[in-house]
Amino acid sequence: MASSSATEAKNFVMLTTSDNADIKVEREVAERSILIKNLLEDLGGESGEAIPIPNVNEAVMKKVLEWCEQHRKDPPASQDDDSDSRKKSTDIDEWDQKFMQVDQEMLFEIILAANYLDIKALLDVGCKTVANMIKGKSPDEIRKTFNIQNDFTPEEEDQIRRENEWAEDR
Amino acid sequence: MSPLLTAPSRLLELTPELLELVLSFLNPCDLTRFGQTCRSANAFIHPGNQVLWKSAFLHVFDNPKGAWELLQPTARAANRTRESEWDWFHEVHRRCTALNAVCDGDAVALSNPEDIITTFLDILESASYSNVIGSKARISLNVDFLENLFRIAPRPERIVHDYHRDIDSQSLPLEFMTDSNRPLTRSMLGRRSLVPDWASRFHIFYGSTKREDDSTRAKSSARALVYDWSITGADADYGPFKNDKSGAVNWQVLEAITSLMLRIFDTTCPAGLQTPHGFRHSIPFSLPSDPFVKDDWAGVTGTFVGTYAFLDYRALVHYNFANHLEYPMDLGQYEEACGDIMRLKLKLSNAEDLRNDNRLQTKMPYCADLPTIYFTGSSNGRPIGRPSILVRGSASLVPGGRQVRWRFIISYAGQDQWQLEGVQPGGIRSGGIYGLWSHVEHEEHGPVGPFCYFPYDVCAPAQK
Repeated sequence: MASSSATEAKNFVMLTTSDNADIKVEREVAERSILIKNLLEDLGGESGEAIPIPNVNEAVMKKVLEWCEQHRKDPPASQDDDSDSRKKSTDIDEWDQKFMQVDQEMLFEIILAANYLDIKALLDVGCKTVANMIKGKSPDEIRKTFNIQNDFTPEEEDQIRRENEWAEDR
Repeated sequence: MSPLLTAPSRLLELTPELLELVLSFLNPCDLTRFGQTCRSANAFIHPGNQVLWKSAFLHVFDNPKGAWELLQPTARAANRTRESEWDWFHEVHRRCTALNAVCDGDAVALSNPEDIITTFLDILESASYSNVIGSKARISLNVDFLENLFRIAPRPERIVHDYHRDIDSQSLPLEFMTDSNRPLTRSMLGRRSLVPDWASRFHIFYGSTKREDDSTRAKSSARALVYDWSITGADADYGPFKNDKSGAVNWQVLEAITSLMLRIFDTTCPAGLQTPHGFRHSIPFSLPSDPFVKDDWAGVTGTFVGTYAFLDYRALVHYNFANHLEYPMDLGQYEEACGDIMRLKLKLSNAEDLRNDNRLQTKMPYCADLPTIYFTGSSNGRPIGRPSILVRGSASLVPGGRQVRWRFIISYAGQDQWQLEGVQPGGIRSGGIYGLWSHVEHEEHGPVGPFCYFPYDVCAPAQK
């Protein structure tokens, strides 16, 4: 019903990325970011002005907004105190898995952007994706995956392996 | 490759908070493998990083807070030091080390098994059930861990029975043998005081083993405790309590009772029922409370299934008079007879005559964190046409506030006949109740024997 152009305009916001690109996005979508939501509230609903997002470039911002669009109707994250008191699942829903099939550079950029923009659910999905890349791998496979330099001497490496034998899965 | 030509690792460049979040999704194995990649990773997963080790711990175990919050005030107070000294790394390390020792059959570790067994007892004590998200199922990671451990371990029963040395015991679960090279002699059957509580408790919680099923000696030493008048007399309230008026559980006697009764119940229980034993029946509050019965903290209201056993009276007398000689009588071959399967139907009662009932009074201390509750009911173990059997009794907390003490008075033909004194070792609303029956008058040289009762719901195979 509310389809007057004035209302519609109100439902969009403009974001300016670090590389000076302007992105027009629905307010509901943008407000998946608690940072943006709070900024908009502080601005008191005054429209028109673009919101600067100095830490996120256009490519990453578009990717993040794609996620926000998909999850626009998600209920707000429940503030259960239980969250760090129980087992953390690394299950990721199918759409998010596909969404996260990006190169490592982009994956870490998404994590940093989600952290900066305060999008808890996206941050979790990103971190789970990285955790899943570690899971089940040997130390050497982890090094190769994440480009980690082995700075142990062979003796140290051997000793550390023995010190950690207790934790090996059976 | 020169480091200068290599891009730095995006993973290690994350801020500590973000790296911590990533690693919080890893179990101890994956976490330590990450820590082995380089110096900074190794420093990051240092044992002092409690946030990280807490999340790793929670991948494998229940949060102990769940079990602690269910403790009664006295038990909680006794647990405070443990709670304040809790170290997530230390606990996960200790538990995994115990698992490895058993799974590898590590002779050195198993030769001093107190650490291992007490660790398993700790896992059980800090177990709690929680709901699986999005389903009605309730799981306990600790129970899964223990059950899996004993499924994959080679010869798992040795950890139950051979707690005292690193080679296979030919004997029994109940005997502590100081000299492993000497063959068991009959005189050693009388030496029974050295079994540590932790070994008996663990055997009770583990449940029955094939080894004790097959072993005459195991039965012999179980009977040696159960049928000894001097162990289970007035100062033990004729039940599985210490013979010193303390009201504390005598774990060795309770172990002997469970050893005999689990086997006997298993062979007599009707088709369609199963004998509930093992870790999952040893956790408090695994049975729901009936929301319609106020104050029934012990889960009294409902149906219980159980039975009792008795030794030939001449053997009982003979055993007790021969007991203190150098060569005590060996009861290994004296198979007890067992009664019918009894079904108790109980309901809570606050009637004054029950609360003032002399037969339901005890001089022994109990834990007053929860009030003693009383009940009445009937037992339908007898064929139709025989006079009905009436039951009344009480449930209270054992000193310390962890186990539940049950007393049943069985009466028929207008007279009180039997007194059943039992302990529910798993705690409030857990599994079976095990104890001793005796005649209510407790005349000298009276018959005595073991019994067990289980909440019907844990005997019935899962429906739905």
